[in-house]
Amino acid sequence: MASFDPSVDSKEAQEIGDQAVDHNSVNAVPWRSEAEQRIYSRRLVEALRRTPSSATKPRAAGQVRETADRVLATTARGRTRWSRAILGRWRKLPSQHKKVKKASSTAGLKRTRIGGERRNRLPAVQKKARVLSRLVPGCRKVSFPNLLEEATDYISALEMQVRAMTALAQLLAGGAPAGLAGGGLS
Amino acid sequence: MRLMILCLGYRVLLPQVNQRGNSRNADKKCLCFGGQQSASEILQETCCHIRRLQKEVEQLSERLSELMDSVDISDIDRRTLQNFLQQ
Repeated sequence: MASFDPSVDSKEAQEIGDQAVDHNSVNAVPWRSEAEQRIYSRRLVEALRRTPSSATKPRAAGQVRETADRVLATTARGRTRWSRAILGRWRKLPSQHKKVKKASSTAGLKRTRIGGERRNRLPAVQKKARVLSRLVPGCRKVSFPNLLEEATDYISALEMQVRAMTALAQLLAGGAPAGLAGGGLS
Repeated sequence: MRLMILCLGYRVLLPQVNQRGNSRNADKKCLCFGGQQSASEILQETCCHIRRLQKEVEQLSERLSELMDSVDISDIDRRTLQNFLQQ
């Protein structure tokens, strides 16, 4: 269901290219730039327009979430593993509901019982790294340096996603970005 | 490897210092950037941060779906929308 045009306007691409600050190396998407947020917002609105309205509310919220994630991953332009993993959810399972990778809080603390109680020799860092690898999509088996890079980029992208969706919600709620309660909600 | 964790820590923790005024915690972490323990703390905080963000996205999705029910997104004044997208 690739309804997005992944190619960016040449003008925007140039704007982004100029602003692309190379934090580490691989990921040059400037999630903190306003231009990037604008692009994401526009794509999100277009995608939401195309989403057919559902009857039940939980379903609709899930659809919005999926759409938001998919647009976010598309905006990443395939440069990161997490974004490709998100896009891969829909490619592999077109008809089923997506496999929800529940970031359960106990996942990382799952103690592999290798013998006695004190045998849990994995240093805390490795345990936490495993938890992290489960939180970042598609990064369960990547090397530790890559994991950190992906996590950093993923966090930046998520923060932008939150900013954009918050602004959009404020817009729909009443137009004034100052947070006044709008007339939309009954 | 520790250096990379430090970079992650700066990326994850310092913005939170600015936003939430949680300077006491962050100071402790910043100053302790030496031992193994603090690396683990950074990773822990990173995981918490991601979970927090994902939950926020979830809540925003719910809110947006409610708003979209009451306000047809296609009916939004085109100019308003353009202003929003141009900000």
